[in-house]
Parts: sequence; structure tokens; C-alpha cells
Amino acid sequence: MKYSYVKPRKKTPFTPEFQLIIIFFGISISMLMTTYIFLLYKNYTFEKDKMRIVNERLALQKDIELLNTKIAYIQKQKALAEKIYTNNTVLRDSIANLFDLVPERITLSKAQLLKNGLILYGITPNKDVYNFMLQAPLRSIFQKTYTSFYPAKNGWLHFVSKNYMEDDTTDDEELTNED
Amino acid sequence: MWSKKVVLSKIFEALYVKVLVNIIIQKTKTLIYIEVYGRKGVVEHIHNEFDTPTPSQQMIDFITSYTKETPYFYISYLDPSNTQGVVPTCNKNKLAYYKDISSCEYLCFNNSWTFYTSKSELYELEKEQGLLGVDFVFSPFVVLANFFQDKISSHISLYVLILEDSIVLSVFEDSMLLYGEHLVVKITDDEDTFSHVDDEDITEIEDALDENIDLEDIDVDDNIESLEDFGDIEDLDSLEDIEDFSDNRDIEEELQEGDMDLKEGDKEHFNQDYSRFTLIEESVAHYYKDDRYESKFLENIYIADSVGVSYDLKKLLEEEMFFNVYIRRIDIGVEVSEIAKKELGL
Amino acid sequence: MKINITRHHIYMITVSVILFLFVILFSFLVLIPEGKEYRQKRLALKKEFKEYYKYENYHDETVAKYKELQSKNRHIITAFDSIFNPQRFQKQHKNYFSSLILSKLNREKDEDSFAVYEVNTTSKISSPTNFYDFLDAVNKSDWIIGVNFPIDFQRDGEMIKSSFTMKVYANNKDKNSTKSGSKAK
Repeated sequence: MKYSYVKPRKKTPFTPEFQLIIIFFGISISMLMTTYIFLLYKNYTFEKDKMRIVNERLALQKDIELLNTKIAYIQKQKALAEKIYTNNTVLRDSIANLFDLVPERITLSKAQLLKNGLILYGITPNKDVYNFMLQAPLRSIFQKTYTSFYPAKNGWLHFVSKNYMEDDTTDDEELTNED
Repeated sequence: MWSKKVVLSKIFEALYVKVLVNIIIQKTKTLIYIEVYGRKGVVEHIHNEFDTPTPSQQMIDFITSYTKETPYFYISYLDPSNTQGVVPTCNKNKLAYYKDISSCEYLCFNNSWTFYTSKSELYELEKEQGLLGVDFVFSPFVVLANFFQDKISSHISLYVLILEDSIVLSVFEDSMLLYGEHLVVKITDDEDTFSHVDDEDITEIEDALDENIDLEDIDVDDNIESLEDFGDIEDLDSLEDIEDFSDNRDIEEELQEGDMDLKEGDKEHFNQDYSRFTLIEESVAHYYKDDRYESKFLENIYIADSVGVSYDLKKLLEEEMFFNVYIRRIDIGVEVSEIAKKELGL
Repeated sequence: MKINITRHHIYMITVSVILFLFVILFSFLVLIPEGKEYRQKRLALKKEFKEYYKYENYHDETVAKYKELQSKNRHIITAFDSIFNPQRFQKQHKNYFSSLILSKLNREKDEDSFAVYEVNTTSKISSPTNFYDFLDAVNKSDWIIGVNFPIDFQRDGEMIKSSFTMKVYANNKDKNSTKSGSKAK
């Protein structure tokens, strides 16, 4: 201090009343700001979470598609396998039926199973036996039947029976025993 | 260069006016001078006087009515301590040579002299004025030096500030203080004395006067001694000396004084002025006698008169002490305010 | 009663008004829209979560279904995946035949996007029942094999010489579906 023995008191425009006003508004504004910052933060996290959830859902979607394709494939495999199995079983049954069809007195020497036909080579005692016992059931199964005979050594007849189906619905021959 | 805080506070300051409250405490009353200082200078000023030396509710209300305008108000006091004075050096080691200032608060003025006051009295002032507060306390010596700053820088003279109940006296030459003293005027019951002015009591009065005269005699003796120091009387008669003597007359000051109306004293004022004169005389004698002070011959006395002294004082000083007396009226409130403004840099 | 308003009061009132206006403006122009956005976003997120849970449930069901199918049809799946090994086949089914000869594997045209290999087989059996049993056994073999026409039976002394074609079905290698891993939890 240049001339005075004492230093003057600190002079500030922030009198107690003014300080009160500032503190009051300060608290209010800081509360508003806190709320605002909170809202900003929450909005940001909401957006982020939404993105995340959407992405996860899409991933799930993709995976579901993938699984569905795999499921479809397995089902296809199963269908094919079942078809094959049934085919085999049907084949077995048909062959069994065929051989059951052949009566005792007729002996087959060769049988050719084709897709739409059946060719039998064998010996029959006489035509009648062949016609009644073999030809008739064959006729009932096949649409076209051709038989040719030629005599055998011991008086019996060799026969060649060619039988064909008309319809070509499937590759497999359907030999169902209608008896 | 300026920190952010300083810049901010300067902006705040610029938004407000400053209120300078200057309080001069006297024995029976308090003088208050308030200045409202805006950007372009003094906007408002008002004097007031309260008949109590301690703050009254009225006084506080008056001051508060101005200070509530702005937070930048400064309450300045003229130091009313009984124990205060000056020392003609700023050198800390030499201070003790003149006065024991261990219990004093002191400051250096302009790197040339020190003014001091009693710490305890300062503390008491702060305590008493607690409600208002204290921002500045100025020494009357500073006020005096500032008031006569145009004269101080020239040849050696005696400068006296006359207040209601004290006298502040100092000797300056070339802006350097050679001697200074703070004198307290004892309040004599002048009124009582003069109310009894009957012929019967004149003897008593004369006795009192005689006592004063006795003192005067002694002083005259001292004066003669000092006069002898100045060489032969014959030399004094030489024209050159007379011319020098006449040059020392302050013509400017005399012209100023011309406008002034010194009262022809009535008995009451005379008593007061006489006691004032006595004190001045004592102090000057002390100055001449004391070896510690550079005792040069004083021819001129400049008086800052804040109370309105009578013509008698001038006459006494001229006739008894052979001074060229120049009296300037001073409004003490205004002058304290000037110091406050200087302190604040306004 | 003179009401004296000091400059300091004016400043304080101005500051108060400004701060008050700021509070009001901020609340209405900034805070409330942000609050609305908050509510909206929260709702949207909730909806998304619900949707996700639906998908999650469906996914879990699908995974379960897939796993079930996998476990139920393991034999078929592995059969499709296995490479036909004639030697092993011969070893496994020679019981039914007195002799079994397999030809080389021929790659045929793909059927239904499955790779098809044909094998011509000639064998000798003692009686047709062997053939029937063989056909039953083929269904349980390590591969998906279908016995196909033309099938020949020819009497050869006490034995029956039989020849037939077998079609072996397998996964097409570029399909690569059973080998890849899925997100099955």
C-alpha cells in the first residue's frame, strides 16, 4: 500500500445476495445439465443396443435359414433313402411273388427282370400247364405278353415268355400280386 | 501480462461507480465527505457532520445509503491516533535513531521519509468502526505533503496542517522532509473561562496569560541564540541579504490570500489560536534544538487551515516568530479523498 | 417511501433474468425434445428385443428340430457321406452269396443333385431266399444302394447265377452341407 497503513477489504461484485442467486441458478442449471447428459448417454446406448440387437437378430435369421436348408437337405436324403429302401423291398417282394408265381411243374432256367418287362426262359411239360399256370397270372400283370415255344429234348417245351408293361409311369416296375 | 482473473476483475470494476467515503474523526464529532466517482470523474459529492466521535445509527444509515450503490466502496479514515508522526529517513537501520518504532505501523513516502502510527491505536480504530469497516487509514502528513506538493519542492519552509483538535507540522526542503511532528491541541474550557469575563476574574486571566508570556520569553531566548548562529548583525543590514529575504516572500501565495477573509478574532477564537501558536512555537524550537534534525533557518510558514483560524494567529506568527505566513483554506474531507484516489490510481 | 434501485440491483436482476430465460429455453428447446427421443428410443429398443426373442425362440426350435433329424437319421446321413468301398461291401454281404463280384464304380449322371455311381454285380446264390435276404441287408448297409433293373437270374447247375446293377447314392462333394458347422447352440 502506498499511503494507507491498512490494506482495503476485497471488493467483489459477488455480494452474498448475488452469490445466492448464482448458487441457486448454478444448482438448477447443473441439475438440468445432468439430466441432459444422462438423456444423451441413454439415447446413445439405446441406439447402440438397438443396432446390436438388430444385428444379432439378422444373424439368427441367417442361421435359421441355414438350418432350414440343412433340414431340407436331410429330409431330401431321408426321402431318397426311403424311396430306395422301399424300392428294394418292393423289388424283393416282386421277385418273391414272381418265383411264387411259377408253379411246381414249370422250371425256370433264366429270368430277366427289366424295367418294364420280364423275360422268362424255362421248361414246361405242356402248353396247357404253361397257359393256365403261368401265362394267365402273367397276363393279369402285364399288358403285353409274347410266348414262344420250342420243343425240348425230353418231350417238354422250352418257352420264352416276354412280358411288357404298357404304362411307363415310373422307372421301377410295379409287380404287385393282385391275388 | 495480465492474468485472466485480473482482466475479469477489471471488467467488473468498470461496470460500477466507485464510492469514496472519507471520515475524519474528531474529539466531539465526525466529519464525513462522500464522493461518487464514475468513469469520467466525480459524479456526486456531499459533506456531512455528525455530533458523535463513534459511529451512530444515523451515520451508518447515511453512509450505507451511498455504499449500497456499488460493491466498490472504500472507507478512508484520517488517522486520529494521538501517537503518530514522521521520521526524515526511509532507511530501516536509521529509523531507531529518531524514534522507537517497534510498536508502530510505518510506511515510506516517496522513498524519502517515513510516516508512522501506533499499532494499538490503529487496532482500536478498526475495532470501533467495525460495523462500517476500514479500507484505508491515511496519515495527515501525507495529506499535508500532497496538499502543498507544489511548494514542497522549492526552498525550505514550514508546513502546518491545522485540524479541529490537532496540528500537523513539518519542514520540507526540495521535496525532502527534514522534520515533522503531530501535536494534540488540549481542549481548554475556553467557553467557561470567557463566560466569567468580569473584572474580578481578569486577574485570573492575566495570570494565565502571564504563564504563556513566560514561555514566550524562553522561546525568544532560543530564537536569539539561533539568530546569532547566522553571523554578525551587520551582515544582515547588507542589501543583498535584504534582497534574498524579500525573494523568499511568496508573492503567488500572497495574491491568493488576498481573497481570504480572516476573521478578526473574538476572545474564544483567540484562545484557541493562541494555544495553536504555542504548540507551533514549541515544535519549531524543538526542531532547532534537536541535533538529529538538520536545522536550517525557517522563513516561511504555509498553513493549511481546515477550521478557520483568525487573523490573530497570523499576526502572532508574523510578529513573534518572524515568519512569512501564508494561509490556504483546506477542505480536509476533499483532501483525504484525493489521497484515496491516488491510492486507488484514479 | 422512496424505492431506490441501485446499479448493483439492476445488474443482479439482469443476470437473474438472463439465467432464468436460459433455464426456460434450455428446458423447452433442448431438454424436452431429448426426453421425447429418449422415450421413443426406449420403446423402439423394447420392440426390437421382443422381436429378437421371437427369433431366438424360433431359432431354438429349429436347432432342436435339426438335431432331432440329425440323430434320427444318422445312419442315412453317414451313408450318404460315405465313399463306396467295394471291398467292404463284398466283405459285408458275402454271406448271402457264394460268390460276389463287383465291377468298377462308374459315375453316372446326378440324380436330384446327388452323385450316383453304378456298380455292376455278378454273383452266385444257392437259392432266391439269399437274394431276398440280401435285398433286406442292402437297406441296412453302410451306403445308400438301390438295386436296379436289369436283373438276371440264370440257372447254373445247383446255383443261380445272378447279375444286377446297384446304384450308390452319395452327397455331391461341392454341396458341402453336412460337413459345415452351423450356429447350433
